[in-house]
Amino acid sequence: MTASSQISRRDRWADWAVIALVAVALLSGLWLRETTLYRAEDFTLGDAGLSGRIFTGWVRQTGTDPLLRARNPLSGAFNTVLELRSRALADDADPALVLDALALERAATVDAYRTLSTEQVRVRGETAVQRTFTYVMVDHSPYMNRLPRVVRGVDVSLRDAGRLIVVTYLADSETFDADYRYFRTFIESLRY
Amino acid sequence: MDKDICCVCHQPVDADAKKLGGRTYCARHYAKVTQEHPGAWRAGLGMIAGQLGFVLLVEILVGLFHPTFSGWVLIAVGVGLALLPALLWLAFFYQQDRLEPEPKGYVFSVFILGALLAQAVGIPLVDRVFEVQRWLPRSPLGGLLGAILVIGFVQEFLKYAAVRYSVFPLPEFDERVDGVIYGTAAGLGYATMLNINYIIADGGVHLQAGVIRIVVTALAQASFAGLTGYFLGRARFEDEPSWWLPAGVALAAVLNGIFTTLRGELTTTALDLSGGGFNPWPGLLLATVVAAATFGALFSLIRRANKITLSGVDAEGGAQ
Repeated sequence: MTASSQISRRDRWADWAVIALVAVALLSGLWLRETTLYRAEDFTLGDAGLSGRIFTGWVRQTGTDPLLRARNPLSGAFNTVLELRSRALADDADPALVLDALALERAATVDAYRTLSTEQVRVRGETAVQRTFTYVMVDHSPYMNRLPRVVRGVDVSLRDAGRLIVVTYLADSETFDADYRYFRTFIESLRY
Repeated sequence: MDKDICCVCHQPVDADAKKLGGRTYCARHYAKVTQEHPGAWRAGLGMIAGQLGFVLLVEILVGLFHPTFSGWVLIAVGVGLALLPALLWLAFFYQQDRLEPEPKGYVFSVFILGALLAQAVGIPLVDRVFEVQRWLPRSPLGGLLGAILVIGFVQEFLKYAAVRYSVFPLPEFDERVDGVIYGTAAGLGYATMLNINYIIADGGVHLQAGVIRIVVTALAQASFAGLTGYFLGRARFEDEPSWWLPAGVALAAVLNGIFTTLRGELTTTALDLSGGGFNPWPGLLLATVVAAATFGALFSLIRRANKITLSGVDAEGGAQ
């Protein structure tokens, strides 16, 4: 084997080594991104018999309605929000009734509330009713000069024995699509 | 029996031909490999000084005339400013390169290739796939690691690829310093596209702060790509181990990530009643120091390697 063929083989190895190194760096970067954005921890709402995983660093509030409200403090002018509600509902009743009641409550407290769509979706292998809506968030504080923000939201109703669990996702219309994965991951983590 | 060929022009050579790091050279290319090419270094120095002069000129003109552009005129002015750092370097380089000319078309082609790779791969990958703006600012350590692993490696690999898979195997790549020259061209192409994207995304540019940002990006991208180019130049003409090129890309990526993080820290200021929040001058100082240190170090390293070669210490075979 000549010196030059040894060298060219080493050059080829060097080429592949660069590509492998960059691939490892990018995969590590991807892992870092996932860990930073989507690291989650367990939560349990004992009285409601609900548990799941919520994202680390989100500000959590628990109560009676909603049972859980978590918001991402790093998500811009309007913080992305996940909410969890439980409403009593007979097994043969239409889940849309609960969503209608929620819509009325919201319409009374926010500006320009509009329902966009109501449809049946498959969540965790079961049929659920999903409603999308929008409203305008106006900061009424006289000391704040903020532009109104257009908020988009989704309610998904999950049937459980004698009750309906409603999972709500609210986000600025500009970050709605980018943050949608939080909603999907949250729903998939729920246990009841 | 295998006949030796020149590793640059691939022409057959005599049995007593010069060897360097296990590679055989014809007489012409052995002489070229060790060429000092002072024009390239003067162009590098001219680029740094010229860009600082360019910033000062814009600052003075804006201070004197207070121009108010808007709409497409502002965008056009911004794009013109974004092109200037690369044009300055190319002008310096072409002017200084008359005595030992590098093929102008190749230098310009690598510049364009760097810009195209930035627009087609680098910017979409960093901004849309990795969405670095969503997660890098969340923690100092995570931000630094992310800047190195994502921004640093994507940018430095693409600039490396722009040289490695275009001019690197050609006979025109025939001097140690060529790696730095073509690397700088790729880096300036990448920087130009980053700057054009920044201007278009912002709908124009605040002239005083914008011109500093443009120059900082150009100096930094050119420096890190020049460093990768140095490793390419050594790999082309010397017997370097397989880890040599990965080490070069990794070193440039780490420096790029550290620079990106430091620039963010240095240019962000506390908000007060008079406004604030952003001061671009420390970023310019940092970029100037980085560029001067990088090109200074590369100059002395290549000069030292050339001296060693010319003294015959690492030359094998043939008459000295």
